[in-house]
Amino acid sequence: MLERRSRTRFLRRIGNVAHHIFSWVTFLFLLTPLLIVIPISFSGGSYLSFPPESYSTRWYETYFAQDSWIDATILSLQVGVVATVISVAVGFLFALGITRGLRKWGPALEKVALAPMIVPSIVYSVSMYSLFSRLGLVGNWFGIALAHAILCLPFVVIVLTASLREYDIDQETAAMGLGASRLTAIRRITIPQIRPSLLSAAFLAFITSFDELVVAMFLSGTFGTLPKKMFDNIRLQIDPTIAAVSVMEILMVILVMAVLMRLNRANVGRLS
Amino acid sequence: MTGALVHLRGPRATGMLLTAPAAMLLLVLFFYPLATLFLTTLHPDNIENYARVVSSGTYMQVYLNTLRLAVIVTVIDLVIAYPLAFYMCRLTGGSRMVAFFLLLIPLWTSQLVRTYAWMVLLGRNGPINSALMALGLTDTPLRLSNSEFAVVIGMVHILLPYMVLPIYSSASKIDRSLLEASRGLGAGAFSTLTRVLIPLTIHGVLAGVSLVLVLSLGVFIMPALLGGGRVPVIPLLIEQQAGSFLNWAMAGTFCVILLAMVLVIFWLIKLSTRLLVRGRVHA
Repeated sequence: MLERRSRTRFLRRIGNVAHHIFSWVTFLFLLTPLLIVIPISFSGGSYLSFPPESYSTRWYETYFAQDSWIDATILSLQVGVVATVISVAVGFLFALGITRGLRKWGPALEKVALAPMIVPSIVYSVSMYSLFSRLGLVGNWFGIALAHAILCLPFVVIVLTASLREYDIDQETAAMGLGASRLTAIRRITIPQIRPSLLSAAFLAFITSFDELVVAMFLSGTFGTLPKKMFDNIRLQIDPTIAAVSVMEILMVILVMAVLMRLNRANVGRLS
Repeated sequence: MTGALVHLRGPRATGMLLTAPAAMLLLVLFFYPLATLFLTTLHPDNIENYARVVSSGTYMQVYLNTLRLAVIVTVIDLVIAYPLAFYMCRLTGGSRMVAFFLLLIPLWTSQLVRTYAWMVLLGRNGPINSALMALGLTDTPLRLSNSEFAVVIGMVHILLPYMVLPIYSSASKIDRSLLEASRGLGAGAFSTLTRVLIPLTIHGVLAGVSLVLVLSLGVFIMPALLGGGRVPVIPLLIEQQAGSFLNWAMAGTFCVILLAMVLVIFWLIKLSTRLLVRGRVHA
């Protein structure tokens, strides 16, 4: 009996260790591709090799020196910001609507707003191309921003409805009982408390647009967003400029994520 | 007019007003173009495209291949994500934060960046081949890139967080005392898994499965860049028809069939979720 118990305990410990190892190997698998581009971006040779034979910053210089890279980046930033503003504004109102007045229809309506997530982007691109070519909007950056806003909307709605459902609505009602209008109550009481979620939603929306390739490829016409420029470059020749761009994008994501986590923690601290 | 407005006061009217902008945007820029696309493929000039696709062995093969790839990726992701999600539940404080960071950074990094990284990693002179040759496991570099293997790895990598997050969210709600009870009542690890853990996380599992399946059916970047033209999938076919052949009618037909496939799979998983959950309540 005692022997059997010590055997199961031994087996459990083995399982435990295996679970540890498996999990951290998986995290390593997730992270490796992001780490590998760092040394490549600093390689000195003009073709791809790993590990690089010499080191330099020439690929970063290439990126900053070429107008086509800078133009593509500026275009993507512009499209991303406009898509974010539209999707967060519209998505915030939508989330308020389904968590306030339309409690009964809320879940059904929420599903409708999530629909863009399950439609393959290539299918959406083809359908938008035919709409925009009739309207003469193909090749217009604002057209891409509009289409991106649709793709961003599900993420915004998921984040904001979740946070508004958790939020204690009595605070808003109390403010109104003290004479504030609904609008003032939302502006002064609700928005400050869900600010971290608003920022997360904006971040997700921006990333979704900034990375989006397929819709931009179909709708952009002759000019290109950053992902389109990257895609064409990867297809034609793999030079380490892509790696330099990649490293800068990864740094941007890590920076914003760290800020968001810090804000979220500050917020949790204040509430508890 | 004023009378109508007064009449419209109340929480429901406010709710409708608040949801109106998003609803309009979705209607005009999402549902309308998709409906138009569908109707165009039904036009007498185009309707025979459906017969062309269905009767063509090559096209049907590509659909099957797309589905097969999606299933492979989903199964691999499920097998990896399930233990990982439970592991993340066990972590506390700082290490849980780190784990989330490690899971979310890849999720939020550009798919193009990650695909490019895999092209480098799996390349002829890439680090994996160098390591294999240094270890003496192979004399000549293996062709890892430009293959289905590369596409599967890339997709598994990119879609893994979508599987982990829903499973994590249902696993984190499990009361740990249930596991101890199961153990105390004499259940082994296996029956605890099949009779306690899996039923309690079935919601998260099915949510993750449907998300990963649906997303992998529409994946374009990985087959285009890591497949080297050897991995035929429907999104590539659509891009070719539209971009190279300018045959938008045919591209539209492919789109409608792909979307139908996605919706049927989505609906089937939804249905099985309902059945499984109800079955559990009755049992």
